[in-house]
Amino acid sequence: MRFGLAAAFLLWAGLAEAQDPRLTERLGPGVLQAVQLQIDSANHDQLPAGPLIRKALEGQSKRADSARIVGAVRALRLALAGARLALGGGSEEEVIAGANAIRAGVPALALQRLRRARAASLSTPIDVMTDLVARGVEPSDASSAVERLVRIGRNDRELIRLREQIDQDIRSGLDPRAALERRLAGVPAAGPPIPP
Amino acid sequence: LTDHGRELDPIVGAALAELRRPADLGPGVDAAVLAQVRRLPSPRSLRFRQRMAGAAVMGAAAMLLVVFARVRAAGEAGIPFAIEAPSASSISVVGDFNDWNPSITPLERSRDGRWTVRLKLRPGRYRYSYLVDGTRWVADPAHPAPPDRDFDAPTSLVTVRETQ
Repeated sequence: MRFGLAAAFLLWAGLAEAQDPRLTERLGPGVLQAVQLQIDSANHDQLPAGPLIRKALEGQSKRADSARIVGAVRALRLALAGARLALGGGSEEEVIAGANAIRAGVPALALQRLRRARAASLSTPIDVMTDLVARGVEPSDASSAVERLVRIGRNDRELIRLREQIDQDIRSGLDPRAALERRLAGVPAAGPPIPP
Repeated sequence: LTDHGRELDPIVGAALAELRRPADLGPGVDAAVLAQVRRLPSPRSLRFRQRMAGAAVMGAAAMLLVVFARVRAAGEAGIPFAIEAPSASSISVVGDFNDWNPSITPLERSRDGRWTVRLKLRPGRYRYSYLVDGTRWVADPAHPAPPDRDFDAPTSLVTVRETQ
């Protein structure tokens, strides 16, 4: 009996130590436990836990109910796992960018194709893709445009410049798709996709 | 003896004659004086030194200006966050960069009702919102909203690049 209590205490102490103090200070016990399960799962799968913690804190700050917070954290964890799978690993920045893209509606297959098109870091191209979707460009249009640009060798700076130009066009009243087409006019077509 | 046509008293005349006689300083004096004169800096050398000193002063002033500009730039560094809200009594920016803590980053109000703050952020992407009067979440019209709508409240997305 004494041994069992001591083991339970040690387990609890270990868990408490592993928990992020920002979460323990701000989340109620029920939501804390559910969020911690998601974080433990992410740690087990070697996924970045930072975005999950920030998501839970955002929900708490915006006074979302427990189910909403846990649901958002879980959806983000699944997106992180999906992004890592689609990218075949990758850096933490790439996986986080990929998760944001997937949550924005970009198909995981687009991330796969992007990986085959470029060996260097993909975090900027993926972020640009997500930003275009955030500005109203259809996810399929955004992903095929960025893939095309990456395949013809456009670098990160050029992609960022393109995003800014499209952003300006949309702000000045152009339809998102028209803005994308305008900025892609004259860009040479990429060759056939690289086979897996 | 006369002085300018006037006849002088013999004693005065003798004194004047003695004073008018060139003093004999010895044969080496002229050479020594000329050697001293040659050692003095020439007018050309003096002009060069004056120019060098002027250049040094100008250089120091330029360096001070650069330092001042850098200090001033450092004071203005950071990502600007701004919102127009003349009737608000308090606004803070709340986001991934401050753990979504509303009390960490208040904005300052200017006379024209514009609220601003500058934040030094590492390169990356950040979700954030403005919290107006502690109760109302407002998105930043200067930046896009993230595509997901996790918590309904208006949210914005800022991307910080290496150069910012």
